[in-house]
Amino acid sequence: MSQERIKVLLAKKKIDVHGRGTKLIARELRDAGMEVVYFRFGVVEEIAEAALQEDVDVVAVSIMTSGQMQVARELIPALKERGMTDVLVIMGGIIPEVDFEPLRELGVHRCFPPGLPGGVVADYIRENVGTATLA
Amino acid sequence: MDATTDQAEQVVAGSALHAGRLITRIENGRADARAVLRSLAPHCGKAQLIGVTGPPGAGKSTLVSALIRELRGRGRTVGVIAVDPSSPFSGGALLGDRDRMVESSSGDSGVFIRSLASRGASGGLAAAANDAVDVLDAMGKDVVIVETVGVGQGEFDIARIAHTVVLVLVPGYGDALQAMKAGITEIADVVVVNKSDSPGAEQTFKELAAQGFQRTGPDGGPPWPVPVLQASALRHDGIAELVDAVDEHHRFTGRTAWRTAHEHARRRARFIAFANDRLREELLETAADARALTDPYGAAEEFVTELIEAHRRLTAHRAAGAETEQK
Amino acid sequence: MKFELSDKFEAAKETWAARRARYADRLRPAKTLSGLPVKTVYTPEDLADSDLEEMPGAYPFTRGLHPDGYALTPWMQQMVFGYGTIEETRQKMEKMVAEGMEGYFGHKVFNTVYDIPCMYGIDADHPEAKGNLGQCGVHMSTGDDYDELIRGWDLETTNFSMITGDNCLPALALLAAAVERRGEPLHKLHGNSMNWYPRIAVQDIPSWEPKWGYALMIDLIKWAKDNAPAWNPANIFMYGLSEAGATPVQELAYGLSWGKSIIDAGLEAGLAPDDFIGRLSFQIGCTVNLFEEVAKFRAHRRMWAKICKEAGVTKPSNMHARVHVHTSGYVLTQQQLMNNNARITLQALAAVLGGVQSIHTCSYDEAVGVPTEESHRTALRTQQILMLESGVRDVADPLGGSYYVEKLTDEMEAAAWEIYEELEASGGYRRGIETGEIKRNIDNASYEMKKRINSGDLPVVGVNRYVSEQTENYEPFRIDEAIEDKARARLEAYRAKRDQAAVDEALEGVREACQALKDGTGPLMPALVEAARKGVTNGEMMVPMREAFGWYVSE
Repeated sequence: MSQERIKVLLAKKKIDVHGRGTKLIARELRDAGMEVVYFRFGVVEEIAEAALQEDVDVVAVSIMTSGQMQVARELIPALKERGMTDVLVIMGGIIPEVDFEPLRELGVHRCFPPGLPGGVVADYIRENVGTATLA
Repeated sequence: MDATTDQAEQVVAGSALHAGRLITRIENGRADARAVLRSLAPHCGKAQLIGVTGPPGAGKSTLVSALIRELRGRGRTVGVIAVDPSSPFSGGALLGDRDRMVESSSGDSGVFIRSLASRGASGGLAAAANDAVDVLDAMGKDVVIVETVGVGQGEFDIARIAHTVVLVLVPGYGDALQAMKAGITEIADVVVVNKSDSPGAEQTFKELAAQGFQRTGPDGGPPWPVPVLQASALRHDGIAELVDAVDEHHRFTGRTAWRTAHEHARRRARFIAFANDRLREELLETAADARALTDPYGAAEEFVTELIEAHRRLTAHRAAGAETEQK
Repeated sequence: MKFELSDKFEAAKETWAARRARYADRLRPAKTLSGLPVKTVYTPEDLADSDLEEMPGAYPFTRGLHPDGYALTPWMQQMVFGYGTIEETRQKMEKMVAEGMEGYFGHKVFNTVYDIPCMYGIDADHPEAKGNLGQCGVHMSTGDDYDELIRGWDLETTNFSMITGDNCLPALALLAAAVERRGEPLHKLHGNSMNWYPRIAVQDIPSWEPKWGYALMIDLIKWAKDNAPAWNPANIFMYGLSEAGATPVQELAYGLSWGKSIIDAGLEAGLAPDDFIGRLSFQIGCTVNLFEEVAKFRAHRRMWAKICKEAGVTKPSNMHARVHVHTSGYVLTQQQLMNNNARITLQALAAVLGGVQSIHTCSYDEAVGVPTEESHRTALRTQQILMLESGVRDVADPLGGSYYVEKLTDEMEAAAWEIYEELEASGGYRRGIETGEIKRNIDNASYEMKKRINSGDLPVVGVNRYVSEQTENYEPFRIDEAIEDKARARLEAYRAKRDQAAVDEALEGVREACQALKDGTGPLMPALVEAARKGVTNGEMMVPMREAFGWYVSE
């Protein structure tokens, strides 16, 4: 089995107790054939560094206790700084819809509301992986 | 400078971006990765390679995390290859080892951690693990740790990669432990009973220590008495002793034919893997497409016979050529 | 209960069977969220094995803790709140009191949630705190913050519930020091420490090693018993199990096993059953599955009373399962937000019919972010409408005697005992943390439920039924990011006025007390209270604690 697989870094705040959605999406993406690195981060730099070492195709950040704008503002430059300019960046969780567009302007390719079937996210990833750019 | 040399130089210079991408191409079996690996070869062989294996739930990742902390404290840089199983159904995988190591590694440029999915490989490792170790070695990591899937049996591949295999056990796996004892001497250079503060740890430790495990070297020289240690990775107890024991084993094997045999075995495995890949791409796929496969067994036999015949003729021809030259 | 079923009943059953014969085999068999099969009709025959000869206010309390239900003591409206610094939260406290948020006998109840940096134990100037300060809870870490928290409130009629994380002990120490500074005795202190270390069995957060996690829990329980006897020193956080994906039956089984693990640890530490078990309380989730939830609360009271009795509790009131309900957040949807009001009403109704002591109603916009003032008030009003307009508080255990609810109560109890006994036999809840068994089972249940929602088998209006393409464009409550600067400034100002030598000395005392706790030679809480007196902050107390009690991520 040496075919290529989509690799996803699924990040959530280290100290956020709300892990259910993150765990569900991790399983759903796995069951959609993806390799999912589950990762609890303390500061955004850690996501970027993990994304780099793991050489993932997708960085997915699960947000449950707000701070999405702050994460996006720091994460996108941190990825670019490391030369990860072709990684797909998505967010999901408790994020108000009104933030989706501002987040896109910061470089987040797509935000997902909570509770969606994981297949929707997996389809989006499959369709967009490799075409994304953070430039 | 061509792309291959450039990539190799970037890895040797310590670029995490290039190392990360190269490992991905290795995982995906890309031919260009082989060329880069070949350029890296002169830079390999410096790292000390440690394998960490043991049953699920033994706390391997936590132990690796503790090892990272201890080694960093001693000023040594660390690379980690952590393998988790792929789902046989979807081919996907949940890679959770990194998460347990974050505390000891975050923000430290002296640590490089890479998770690999086993992608159907047997033996508790990913097919790419052997080469991924070389990448981290070439990057200049002083120590490279490989953590296996931990499926109990069949952890023998790790012994072919690592200089020292640490077998992690915990109390409370009575039957599994009994079943494993037979195999321990075949793979373990150091045994550590983790979770030393849990009930039954002392007894498990004593029981194992009383076994007097020994490993016999390839040259019939003095055997290696397998040390049995106690540790609590969580509390960082016994970790310094574990690193000392691993280093002692490394020195011991370095003095004996053990190391030479090991290096040879790794080179041999690499030759077979490379040749295998190349033959598959260059010959097998085309042959399979070109032939009628109504009798696949017969077709395969016929094809292999042809190859052997061709190879035999080539060898004979070369020998003849050499003879002519001598005259 | 032995019913004498007459010929009249037999005749009625025959007529019933005849009427439904044509379509009976086309009925789709229903089941509860926990997977228990449900019949379309229940009759006296279903209660043949039930014990119905029970009154409210008496052991085993199936029908409620009080003889007259809510008639004398209505449930407490304990709305969770807290954001920004203590200044913002203080304003909110006063507003909620003005809105009529009440506990027993008109007492004030403040269910204050801390922000994530506090829970984790880092102060405002820590790099990881950035972006999280005062966001989803209040940032309180200094003596000044706690002085402001209690300023002007009468301690005997005010209840401080402190939703902490790992900072549970430091938070109580800081509160105690503030009370002392006011010159009042600690025995006046009312409220609740969460002290819910066992939640790490399901929550993916790093915390203490299990061995020390339990030791810390007991240390707080002992300190409260001796110093603040009216304080509730531990909360059994079944809500956390439910939010992680536990079915109602799993929530019951694992929650009670969690409670049992505290009992065991307390007894092991030399406490007498009647000294601490009666002070334990529960926080439980509540979905929209009305009857299953009612049955769950009834079964829960009965099961806990039995566990307490078996553990040697003699005083009946010490066998009370005092329950605070937090309406389940996971059932709320971001799609068609307003629908959540209907869900929350049903959830609160189930809690009231189930006879619980205290309720937090979620706000309809919690699926989007932190509630606005308006949505938070609506949630409180939902409780007040139930309390004052619906008539549900007038009669104790109004569903008692319902063939269905009684049967379901029995069935849920039996199903929960089965899981409970199995876990107890394999070492109990604490062992379940270490083996990951609880997490595994709950994760699997959560995944099964998600698959049912994805396939449409489990209907969720707005998500897999009556889906709308329209976007909500709802503007949630925003916390000004300038709050972060304010929190840092407060911390700096506080640190500037301390006696640093006294702080260092007190921290050394904490370090020594941590070691003493580990060696079993002394308590930790007094050293923390002393540190609080000397001006040590929440985050500073946590440093020696982290060093001593480790870092554990459950498998």
